[in-house]
Amino acid sequence: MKKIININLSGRLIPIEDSAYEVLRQYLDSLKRYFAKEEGGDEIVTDIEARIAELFNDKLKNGAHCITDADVEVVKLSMGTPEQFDDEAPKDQQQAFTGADYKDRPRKRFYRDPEDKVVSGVCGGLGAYFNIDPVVFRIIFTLLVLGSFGAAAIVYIVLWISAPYAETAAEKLEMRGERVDLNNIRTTVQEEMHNVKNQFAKAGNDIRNFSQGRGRQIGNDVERFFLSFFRGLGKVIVAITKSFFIFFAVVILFCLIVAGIALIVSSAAILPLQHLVFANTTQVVMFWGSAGLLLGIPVLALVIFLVRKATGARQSARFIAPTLAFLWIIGLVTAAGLASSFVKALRRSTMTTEVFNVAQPKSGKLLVKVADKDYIYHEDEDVEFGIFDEDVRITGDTTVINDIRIRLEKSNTDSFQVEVIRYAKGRTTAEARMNAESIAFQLSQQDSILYIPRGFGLREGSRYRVQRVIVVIKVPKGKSLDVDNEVYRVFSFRSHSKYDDDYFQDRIWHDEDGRSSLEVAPDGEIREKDKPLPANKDSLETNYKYHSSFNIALPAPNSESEPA
Amino acid sequence: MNIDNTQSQMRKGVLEFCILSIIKQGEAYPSDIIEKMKEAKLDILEGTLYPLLTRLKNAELLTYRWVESSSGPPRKYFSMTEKGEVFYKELESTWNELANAVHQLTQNSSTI
Repeated sequence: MKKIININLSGRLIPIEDSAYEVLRQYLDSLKRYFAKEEGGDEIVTDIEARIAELFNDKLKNGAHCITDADVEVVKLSMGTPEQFDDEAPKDQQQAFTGADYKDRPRKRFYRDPEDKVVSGVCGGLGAYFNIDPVVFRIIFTLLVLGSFGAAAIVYIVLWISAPYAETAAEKLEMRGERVDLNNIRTTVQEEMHNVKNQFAKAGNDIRNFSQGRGRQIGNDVERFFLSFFRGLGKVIVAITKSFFIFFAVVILFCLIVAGIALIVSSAAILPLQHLVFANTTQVVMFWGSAGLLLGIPVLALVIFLVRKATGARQSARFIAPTLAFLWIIGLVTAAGLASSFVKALRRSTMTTEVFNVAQPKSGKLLVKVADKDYIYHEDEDVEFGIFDEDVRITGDTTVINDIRIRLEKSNTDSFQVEVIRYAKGRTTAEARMNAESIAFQLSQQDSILYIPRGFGLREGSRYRVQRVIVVIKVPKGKSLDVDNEVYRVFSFRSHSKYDDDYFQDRIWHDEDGRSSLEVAPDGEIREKDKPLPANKDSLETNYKYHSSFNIALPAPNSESEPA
Repeated sequence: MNIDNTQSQMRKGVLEFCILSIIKQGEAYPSDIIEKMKEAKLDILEGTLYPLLTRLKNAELLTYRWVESSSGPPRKYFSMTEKGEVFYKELESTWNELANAVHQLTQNSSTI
């Protein structure tokens, strides 16, 4: 079954099968290209067209209903193809053609072959495109998919989406075309320019028709000038825009792929945190799903776009763009939902206070030191994984977080008092309280030394919801608190009452080992005990300048030796 | 040495001369020219003839006029110009010299 179309060839009405028309059109195009560089080339082609029309007319007069493929082939045979002309006719000097310039070949495009398909016709189309038995591609794809555990299927799907079925005769011709080689690619590029030119010529004609329809008599010269001007301008604009878009697409694609790779690489860090951050499996799935969609959909779309550009495939099925857009929006909505659920999960905050019973030191002097060991469920677990500058450490089943602050206050009684405040956030106050209670933190005292561990543990199965621990040390009047320099290094610190409760000094780097001795000053503030300055005054001064912005007790090296 | 190439070179050389000689005998329509050449066993593609005619016409050796035809649009009938006559005369004498020379040489070679 074939469609018959009517064409006007050199002023004659010719009914012709659409496949035959396609062959004829390509033949005439090849002639046009062949003679284009010759003086009077148009005339030659017109003459040949007239002759072909005459031959067809004879055929029709002899009783044929229409012109078939075979008729066109006969005409091609008697007229000859451009390749044959070279052999036969004397050529003018300027006619230096290379073979590819005028080849009688259909334009090649990548289509899926509906007549040679197993799954979707992709391999059939590839076979037609490269002029290789499709079975080769089928075997290659099967091996690749099996070898890559399914990853190569993405390539197949991209090709599937990007190529339409070759449905009409013209598309089938385009699909089969000639073997792809360098010359053909060059020709394709030339044809592309040619097509663009034609389109603008058509647009030019439309403009002309419009003006004539209005009865406007535009001067021929002006008209010609504008037509050629617009054609030239249009050509340039189209070429620039096209290449810009393609360049842009490639750049974006590159960025997205880099982002994707970064995500995959960083997933090594993200995976152990998953159970800490996400409330449940749904959120984990939502996170990876939305990340995959937000990154993957643009990559897929760009790859399809570039494959289409590279193979010259025309637009594929209509549903693809909306589907991709829809999936991307789903990814966006999921990400937004996830973000809002995180915000909600941090809506309420609460703190619980626990009193640590301090054995009052006999000397009236309490020393604060950093404990050697953290809170860890199973100490024999040697797999440790630290991120954020070791502030979060993950062992087999415990997460240790270094977010401990120390606050010094004046005691109302005559004894040292220590409180442990656990702070956390949550969806509700009750949940926040639960999160706060998940903090595993234990102070310890040995004689007059109070040990504070570097970090606190989160109980198994609990989430990170901005948990933090504040150790409040209340210093009685007349007694002094010695602070080991390592304490300043490890914890955030607050000793001054003029700041509000949320103010904590950043960790301070003290190079020297040693300690400072603090006591309640007459004005109620806690600061370093008034002492004679040590001998190495210079180094202390530099130290002082460096820390002058902090309203904090300074280290006093060599101040006092640790009690044995 | 490619025999096809040599053969086509030979044919190329005489093609213009042959076409001119056909037209010299009287006004001719391209397909008439093809027919006559076929009768003389000098096969030529129509696609080769049209460009040749156009080139000869552009060189003002030929001219044409439109003749109404019974079937369809008018046809181009080619005839020779005075310039063409002169050109033809020169070609003819060259051809005769060449034919004689070739004839003589090939006779000699066949007798050796």
